[in-house]
Amino acid sequence: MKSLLWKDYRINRLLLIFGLVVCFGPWIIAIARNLLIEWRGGEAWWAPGFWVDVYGISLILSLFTFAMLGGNAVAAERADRSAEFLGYLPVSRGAVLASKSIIALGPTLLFWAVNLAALFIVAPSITHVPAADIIAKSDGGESLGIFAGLTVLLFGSGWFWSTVLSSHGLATGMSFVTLTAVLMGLLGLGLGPGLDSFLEKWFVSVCVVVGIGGYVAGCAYYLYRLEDVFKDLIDGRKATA
Amino acid sequence: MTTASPTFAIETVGLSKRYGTKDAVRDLSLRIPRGEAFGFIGPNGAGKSTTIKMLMGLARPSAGEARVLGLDATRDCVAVKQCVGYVPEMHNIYRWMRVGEVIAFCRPLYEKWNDRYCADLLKLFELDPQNKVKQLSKGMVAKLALLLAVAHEPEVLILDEPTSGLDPVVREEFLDGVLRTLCERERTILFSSHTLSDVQRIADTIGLIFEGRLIDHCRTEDLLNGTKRIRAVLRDGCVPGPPPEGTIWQRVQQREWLITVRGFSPSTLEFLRTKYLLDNIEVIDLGLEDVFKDLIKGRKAAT
Repeated sequence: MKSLLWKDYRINRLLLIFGLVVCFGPWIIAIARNLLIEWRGGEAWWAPGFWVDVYGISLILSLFTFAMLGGNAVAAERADRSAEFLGYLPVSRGAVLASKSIIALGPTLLFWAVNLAALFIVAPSITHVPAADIIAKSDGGESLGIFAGLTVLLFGSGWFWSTVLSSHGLATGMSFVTLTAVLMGLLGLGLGPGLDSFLEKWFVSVCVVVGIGGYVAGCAYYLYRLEDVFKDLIDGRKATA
Repeated sequence: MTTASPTFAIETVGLSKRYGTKDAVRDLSLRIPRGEAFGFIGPNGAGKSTTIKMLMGLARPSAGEARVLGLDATRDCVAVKQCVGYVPEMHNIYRWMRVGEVIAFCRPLYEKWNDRYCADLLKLFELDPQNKVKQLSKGMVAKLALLLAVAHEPEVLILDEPTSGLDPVVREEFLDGVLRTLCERERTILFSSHTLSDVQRIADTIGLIFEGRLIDHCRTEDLLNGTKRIRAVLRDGCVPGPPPEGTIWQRVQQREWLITVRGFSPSTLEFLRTKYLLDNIEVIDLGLEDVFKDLIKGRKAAT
């Protein structure tokens, strides 16, 4: 398992560095800017709004990382056919999947943890304003739900497309297409008379269902080797031709 | 891992694989005893690679079963891979890894990895652990694949056209490596290749597959000793008729009649001499490549 984890880490290394930059980058820049202002004798803006703004930027940027982590999971090895080499080795598909899940889900949870810790632990201790008030000052916590829904949807659908497709770029792109389809579908069905109501009532729950469904379906597809069915059909067509 | 000690290292019973409407492998029943080097030959698309994929648990049979060392190749595919070394035509080893990293990656996955043997092979194959796989030539990648396939000292070695595209020198070195592993301990080898001189050099027995069916399975020396080409020159006015028993291929060009006979004996010549008026008759020894070509041409002509 260790060597599988190492291999998956190496395959995703650049992506993880990118994720760290977009997750920590806004925090580092914003805090460094405030410290610089204070060092020069000015008055930095440490108000609750500061924390909410930076967390928003960090998570918006991280959404791309979440989609790419899901989209890269299986398709990256199919793209260069190294998945075939892995297929010859004595490892179960369950172990392969577990390793990929750890490497993709771990950083996703870490990036979320960083932002939540900043919002719920660091900000209250610096501003002396309770976390609930900090959240309430922005949008009453609605953005938190939307970001969570988007994370689950982009990661889960990216994961699903990654198990089906042989291009990690396409799998990542398809996760955004899935998001668009969910949005269009909900709006088209008229489930949201007003935007607020729409977001509150449907969007987050549909995102979570689609995302978790995508992850589970992708795992099942990979584990039960349904991919062979399609591959066999393609090979069969070639052979017949 | 506990495995019984079956007589046959590889055994298939009624193995079939269907791709859409095409049968890639049909009702293949094959038994390869332990310690035997088996040459698996056939034209392109005959079903060799599909059979091998089913033996490795990489493709599911449509019917029948494949067993390796008594283990079901589909159900126990992880256990099968523990005791099988596999070298495919396309190696697809992680190109971004260094040679040393590939070894370090594979080593913990096997229960019986032999570090000393691995180090010996690294030296023998002149592989530098610091080199990246993408920097290696095709021949060096093939050698690395062979190293990975044998360093865990598998009981069965499956080679699926491993020398395809290699230059003669590297091919020779690769085969030396295979022969070396054969000599070191009793190991069953299934060797599939289009380079039949290589197969002839290694294989104790030969299996010929054509259109998904196993059409011949015998000892290499029996096949070569018992298959001869007869060149008969017919006398003017004499027309060739029924060929001798065991004829697998024949061709008539003017007065020259070429006949390839399986199960050749002096009575074959006697039959021709008594039945036809001949000016000359001679027997030509054949290599595996010629036997293979004639068998396939004969089959194609018959169908």
